[in-house]
Amino acid sequence: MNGALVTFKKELLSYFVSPVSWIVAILFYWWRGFELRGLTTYYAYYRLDQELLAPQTYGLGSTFLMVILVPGLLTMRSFAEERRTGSIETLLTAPVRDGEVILGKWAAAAAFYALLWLPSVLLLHVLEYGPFLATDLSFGPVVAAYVGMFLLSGMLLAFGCFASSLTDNVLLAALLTIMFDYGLLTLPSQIGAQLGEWGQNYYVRELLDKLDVMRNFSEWFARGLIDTSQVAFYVGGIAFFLSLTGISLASRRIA
Amino acid sequence: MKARRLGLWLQLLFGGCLMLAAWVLLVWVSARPALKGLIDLTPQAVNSVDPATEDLLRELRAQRAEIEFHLFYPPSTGAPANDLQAQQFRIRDRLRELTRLLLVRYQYLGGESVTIATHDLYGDVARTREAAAAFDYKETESDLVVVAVRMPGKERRYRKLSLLLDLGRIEMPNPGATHLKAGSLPVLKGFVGEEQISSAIKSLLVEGTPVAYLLRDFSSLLSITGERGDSYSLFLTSLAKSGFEVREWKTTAQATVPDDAALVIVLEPTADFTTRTAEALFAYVQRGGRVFLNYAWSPVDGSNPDGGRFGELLGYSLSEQPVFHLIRDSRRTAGRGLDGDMAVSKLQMFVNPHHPTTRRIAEAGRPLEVAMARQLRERPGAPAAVRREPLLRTGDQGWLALPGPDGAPSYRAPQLQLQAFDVGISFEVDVAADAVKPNAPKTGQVVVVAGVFCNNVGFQHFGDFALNICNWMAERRVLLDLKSPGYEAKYLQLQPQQLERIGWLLVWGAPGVFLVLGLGVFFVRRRQ
Repeated sequence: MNGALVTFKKELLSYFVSPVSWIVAILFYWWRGFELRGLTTYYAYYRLDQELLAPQTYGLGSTFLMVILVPGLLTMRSFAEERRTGSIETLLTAPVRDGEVILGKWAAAAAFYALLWLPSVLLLHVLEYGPFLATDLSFGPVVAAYVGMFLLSGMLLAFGCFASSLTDNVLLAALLTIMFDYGLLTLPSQIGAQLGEWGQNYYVRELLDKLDVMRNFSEWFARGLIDTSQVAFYVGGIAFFLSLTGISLASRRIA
Repeated sequence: MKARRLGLWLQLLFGGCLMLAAWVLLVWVSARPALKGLIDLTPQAVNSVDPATEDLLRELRAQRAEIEFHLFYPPSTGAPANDLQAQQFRIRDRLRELTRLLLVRYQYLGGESVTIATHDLYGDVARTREAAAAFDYKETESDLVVVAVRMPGKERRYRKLSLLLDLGRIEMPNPGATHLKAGSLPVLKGFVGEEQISSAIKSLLVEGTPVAYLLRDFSSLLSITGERGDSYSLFLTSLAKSGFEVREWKTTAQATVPDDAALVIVLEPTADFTTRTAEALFAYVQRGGRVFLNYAWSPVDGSNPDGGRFGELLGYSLSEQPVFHLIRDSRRTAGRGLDGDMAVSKLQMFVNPHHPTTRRIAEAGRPLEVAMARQLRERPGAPAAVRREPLLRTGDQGWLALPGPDGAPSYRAPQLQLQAFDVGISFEVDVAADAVKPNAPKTGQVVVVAGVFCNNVGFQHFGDFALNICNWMAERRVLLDLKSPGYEAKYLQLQPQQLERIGWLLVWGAPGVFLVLGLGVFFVRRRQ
């Protein structure tokens, strides 16, 4: 596991020193700031239930941006850049196992992504103080939403690693991931709506429920509920896509 | 060499398929009802359903019942004309959302036995028409939730619930408001979806319509109509809503209890039953009949019966004076409570944790309060054949009130002789062996509560106890329930200055921190 740790540290540092990461963070929080200010005003004016305020911040447009775009941007260079520069050969012949490299790169992306989200939780906590909202917001749903966001993005980042391992074109890798993310977020609900009576079948319903990650997120995690079967779905998804990445790298060795 | 490469490729393909299979298997296993768990991190677990609902759905799933929820939500047409209409739309949308989320929880617990169908009047027209015909839905009914239950081998039964009237608690604006400000808009105060939907499911499981006879001949002060606090209209309406047929028993027209009586209810009697009525009631109990008798203390002289002949037959009597209890002093955890205030007449009850009517209340640790109560005591020479089980007991700082200087009961407690008093007792009488009929109860039951708790004021808080008594007596045990705390909304109240500060923090503060940090990293990197 030493190889994974070394890769993790190296990759995480590269994220921190990359100007793209900081620009993404600044733009994200600027946009989110506008949205959150509007949301707070709306809740106060129309006297809506304040318990919903914190969970509803996870339904803002900036959240979708983070879920759809950012995993692709974070992982696009993971392997595609190595392939483009030829350093992948060095990596594949280095005394570290493929699994360790993959795990290290994915963990670094996931950790950076989690750190990118963390200030959104801290901001909500700061808002509780006297000069701002001067009230207690319910943090249970925020914690659950954070867990859900981490699991969902973990799976999307794993796919991003896989997409990056398929090509030496960084932009193509990002595009593939973004398309997959968008499809995963929107298609299951549309398919469910088209199925009609079929959609009522228990097993079809269960399958679509699991695949409908956006609904799972908004109806369970963002409501403060953690369903263990959904956790298993995301953990399984992460393992699946990371193993596909391993297969992709192994296939390059064969080729 | 080629064959080796092909073999390796196949190996990789097989590995991929194996991983996919492992993923599917993991998800399938984790979604099994016995293995899946739910962690609720919401405050007071507001997103979790009541354990009673969980039990109900689990039981129905085991019985292979089919539970259907049909949602008839007419689409909104046009933009709202004003703030009021916009707020009404918002409330309706919020109620729709809360209902949908609740039903998703039901589906989670009920698994394959629960289906949810949303009927879009502008979507699948044929299916919607079919459902509307099946459930007799008319467009004028607006947003409607139909709860349908089909037990194996039985007909489907359904009940309709209005989204706005039944599931939501909406505070309407002050009618005197002349202009529409935020404060004069209707506000969604609460959501009672679980209570209503679970009650609907339960009532659909109960076959037939039990008849509850109300005996008013001995209750000269009783009011059963109107919205006054001392009226019992809410209780009787709720009984009807829970599937009872409420009729009146006039002892002048019929001396014996009607044959179709599932139970007899007597509320606040101000005189003892005549010997003939008392014996008719006892004879009914001896045949397996059920009687719910709710006494209260009345300030009117001669209006506090002591049980009379019926009391003799069951072996109880009531005190003439009301029972008072010291008020618990929240600043002191031990020692003597407070007195000298009218609140001493409101008694916090210790409920029997084993009796079916009070078990859930005890389990939930919910307070139960009765007012104007009297002591229920065992009569000397009480018949041994009648079994007694205390239901409600006061704390140990109670006393029987004595008249004050003005003749009314004094709220001052005596210095000595504080004790606990029984104010609710359940009596059980065996039906004679030769009188037992097939499928008929083998025991007669009488519940006597000697204090006010289910008039219009009390019913809002403790009405579930009164309904529990009636449902238990009518052998509708599935309906024994506890009113769930429901969802209570809290609102933000912000001053313009607060909003300004929030805007500054969110729009400039947080991104600014990232900008400064990013520039810091950039300059550190340049120096290196």
